Amino acid sequence: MKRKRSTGALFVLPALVLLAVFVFIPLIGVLGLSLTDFGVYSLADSANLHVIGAANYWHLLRDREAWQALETTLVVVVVGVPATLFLSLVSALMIESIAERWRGMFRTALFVPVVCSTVAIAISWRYLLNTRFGLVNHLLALLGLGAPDWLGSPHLAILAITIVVVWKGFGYGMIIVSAARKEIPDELYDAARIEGAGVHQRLLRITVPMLAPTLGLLALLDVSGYWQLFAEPYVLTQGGPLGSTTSLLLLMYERGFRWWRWGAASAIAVALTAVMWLFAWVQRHTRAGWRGE
Amino acid sequence: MRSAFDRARALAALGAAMLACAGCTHAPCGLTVWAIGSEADALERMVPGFEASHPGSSVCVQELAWSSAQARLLSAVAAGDPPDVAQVGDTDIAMLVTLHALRPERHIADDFFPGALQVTRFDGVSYGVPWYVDTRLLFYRPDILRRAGFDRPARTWNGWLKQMRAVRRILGPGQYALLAPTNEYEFLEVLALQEPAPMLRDGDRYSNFTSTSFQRALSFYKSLYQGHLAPRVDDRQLVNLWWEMARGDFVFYVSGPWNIGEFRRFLPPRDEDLWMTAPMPGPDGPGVSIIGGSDFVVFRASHRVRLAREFIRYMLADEQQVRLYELTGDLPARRGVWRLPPLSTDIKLQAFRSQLERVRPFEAIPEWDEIMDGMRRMAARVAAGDATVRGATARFDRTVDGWLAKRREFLARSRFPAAMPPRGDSLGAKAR
Amino acid sequence: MSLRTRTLRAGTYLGLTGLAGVTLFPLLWVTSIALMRAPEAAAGTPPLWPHHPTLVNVINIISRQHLGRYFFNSIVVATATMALSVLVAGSAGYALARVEFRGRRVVSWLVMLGVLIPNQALVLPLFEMFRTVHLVNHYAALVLPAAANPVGIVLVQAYMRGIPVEILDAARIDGASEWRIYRSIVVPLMAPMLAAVGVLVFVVSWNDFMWPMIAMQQEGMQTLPVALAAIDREHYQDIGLMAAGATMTMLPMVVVFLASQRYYLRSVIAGSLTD
Repeated sequence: MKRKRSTGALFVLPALVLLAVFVFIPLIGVLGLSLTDFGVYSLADSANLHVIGAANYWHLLRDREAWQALETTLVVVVVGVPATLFLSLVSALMIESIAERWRGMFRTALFVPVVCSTVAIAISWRYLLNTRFGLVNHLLALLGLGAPDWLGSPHLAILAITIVVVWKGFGYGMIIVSAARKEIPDELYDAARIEGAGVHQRLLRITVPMLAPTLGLLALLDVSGYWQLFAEPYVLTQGGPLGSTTSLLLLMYERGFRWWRWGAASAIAVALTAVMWLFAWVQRHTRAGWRGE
Repeated sequence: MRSAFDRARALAALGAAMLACAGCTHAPCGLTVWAIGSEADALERMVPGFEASHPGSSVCVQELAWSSAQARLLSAVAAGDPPDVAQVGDTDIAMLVTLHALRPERHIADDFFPGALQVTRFDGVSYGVPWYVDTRLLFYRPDILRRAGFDRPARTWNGWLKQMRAVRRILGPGQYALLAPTNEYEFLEVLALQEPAPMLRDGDRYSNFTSTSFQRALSFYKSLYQGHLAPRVDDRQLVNLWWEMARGDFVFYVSGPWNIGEFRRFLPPRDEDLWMTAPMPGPDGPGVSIIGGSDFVVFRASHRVRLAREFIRYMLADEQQVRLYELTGDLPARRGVWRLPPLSTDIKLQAFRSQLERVRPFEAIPEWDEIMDGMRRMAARVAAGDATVRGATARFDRTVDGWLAKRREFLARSRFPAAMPPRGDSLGAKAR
Repeated sequence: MSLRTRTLRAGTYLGLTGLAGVTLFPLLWVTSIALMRAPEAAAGTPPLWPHHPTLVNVINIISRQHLGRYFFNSIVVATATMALSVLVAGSAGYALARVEFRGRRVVSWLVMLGVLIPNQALVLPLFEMFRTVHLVNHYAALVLPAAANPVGIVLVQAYMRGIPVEILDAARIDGASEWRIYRSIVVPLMAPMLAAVGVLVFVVSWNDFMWPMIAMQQEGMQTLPVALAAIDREHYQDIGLMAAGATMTMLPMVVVFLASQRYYLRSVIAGSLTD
């Protein structure tokens, strides 16, 4: 039995080492960096490196651009996640309701954007959304609607990015909801039908409640993904116009790797992680509530 | 099912072999040179000539991307394995000097454009050899300007404004007098440099963006957008600006020398007369512009200084400077080369020739790029009407003072605090 | 069938067709632009279909922008990451689910914690670490951190929990070594899940952007999306060229997805049903 014990540990050892070196040590590292003023001058001479306590965090609290980035990222999460969940749910239920032989085709079609490179997708959408020559505005013009300045207006740009993010992401949730929908026993629906429940009632009384835990988990996955928004604004708008699409990660990247203010950038990274944990915590507790039903 | 495991094992072995080989690509190099983008391609084509004239030498050119060149140089220096020679963008030299990474340069030629030489100089010591230069000026549509009643672009801001307003009246909807993309800072930097007061003060220790000089420049900038003379676009919203210019969507465009090549690449030869170049107008007469470009630097860590210097000397000879222009469109840093064809014969280059004599160097400090990028964002807000000139500059002053805190501290510790020349030159004092 | 049911059904097909159009159209359109000559693509709104299809953009982006080189890098990195992830996640996931050992709970907890850490927030210290050991610009800088993949472990762990323990116990009673059991019984059992994790990791690695952009600064070492973004910064005006680049970055993953759909979708589904 002793041999077995040690073998078990050996099996997890590679994973543990990788996780320690590339996740946990960096996590401690970023926390440590955020308490210093690490930057160009400290690269020049380590005498210029100081531990400055929470100063980076205090600066962050008074930093208009950081608040704007938080707001931008929150908008993408708050608008994008419900929209994604809705589309995932609707498309999954539609696919599950059609004839078996067509399902695969639609599933594939809706899922394809998920496997495509975000950079390539963003480049494609930039041409689609071009104010004067983009196909989107061309279509709107055919319908007699105006020509919104999608990527040039500070109010619309973040919405445009959210649209791209949702467009690329909802197929993922569709597959998951689809799988969960299969797990709901048919008897439940049969019983409801006998009791005279209509399509809507069955949807609201059976399908949605039964899918709630899955949707909850999906919400967490989407929040975690959208919270780390980076490539879309990097390619589509470079954070503009007027900083309206600078996400927290883009801000961290710029401060860290363009301006070499590693201390300040690390503070953003830590704040980002902390908020993400807060989301996870909230999700766990609300889901416990759903389960209790 | 066993085969799945075997396949995984084979893949793992393959992966391990690839990882192991990642480090085995370096051939022995007599001299390692890092260059950026298309300049690297050009260098690679000029290297055989150097190797032929220096028997026994072998030069390896490594190409960096513009977007990551600075980061790459910085991390190489910090890790202690920089190349022997590198092409460095003008604004990045200060950072490398701060890191004590560069060797002071020797005198190579007498005829560099003075502005180009000045930005490589820190506390009187030069740390780079100008390779090619770059500035901003006007590209314009002579035919439309003539239709509006003007022979050539004005020399003063007021005259230029008048022309733009006149031009605007004969343009169609969606067409503008000026294209000055809001994601570039250079145009506003030019306007600010045309004003007397510098953007930083006290040896580049404090921000000076609340000066009346800068406020005047920013107000002029703002009026161009608020008066609908220029669209508030980022240049990525244009699909093909050369086509758009040829169509008359823009009459003036503030840009750099590479666009001469781009116009010729995208427009058919018959459209050659549709565009022309002219020097920048100034507040009250011909205006200064910025000086940019790249320099060759030699790293302190290099053991092949002699060969490095010979390499640089070779690349700065007339023949190679002309060749560089032909390969990339980069403008020679030495005035003498401009007397040779094709530089002397290209009519569109003449405006650049005269503008290069009228440039004002930027403040060569490591934070300059960040400050300029911040200025661009601040100016975009002002141009959009989201902030007033006064309020935005006051706020930006505080931000920049914060960015410069570390620099002030660094200068205070520096071993040579006394003789502090007005233009942040003290960094060089640490060079040994 | 009532009229109402029939309209509902027709509406469903219509809705799905519309949605599929919305997801597929941008991809098809970009592919179409990639095949257009410059004047056609750049003059106003590009048409839906190239009137004179040409490969000139594809040839340009391969010959002038060396896309082949980046393609090779991406293949190497994605393949190595996939292989290493599968090995590591396979053994760890199995052990956490089905082998008793001291500290198992702690390790399980650490893995779950790992899932909750946004890995892009760690790029600053990671870069510093790789710089210190001179591995920036090496494939290892992309492969090793990506192989520290807690999600893969969790997927395998959940899958193994669903497999009856009796099979393994029988082998143990026969006196087979743990290693032998793993090789000859466990790996075949979890092969479908390993395949799923493998495809998932391959696609994620291929599409990864931020860390590869930071870690691969040397020209010629970048992966496809990183190179594409860099080319985009200089050539965004050339819509045909960029469309060709975007198409060539997306197409391989679409092919991988179509070819391995069964496994790929399994990992996506499993990812949601574990915890």
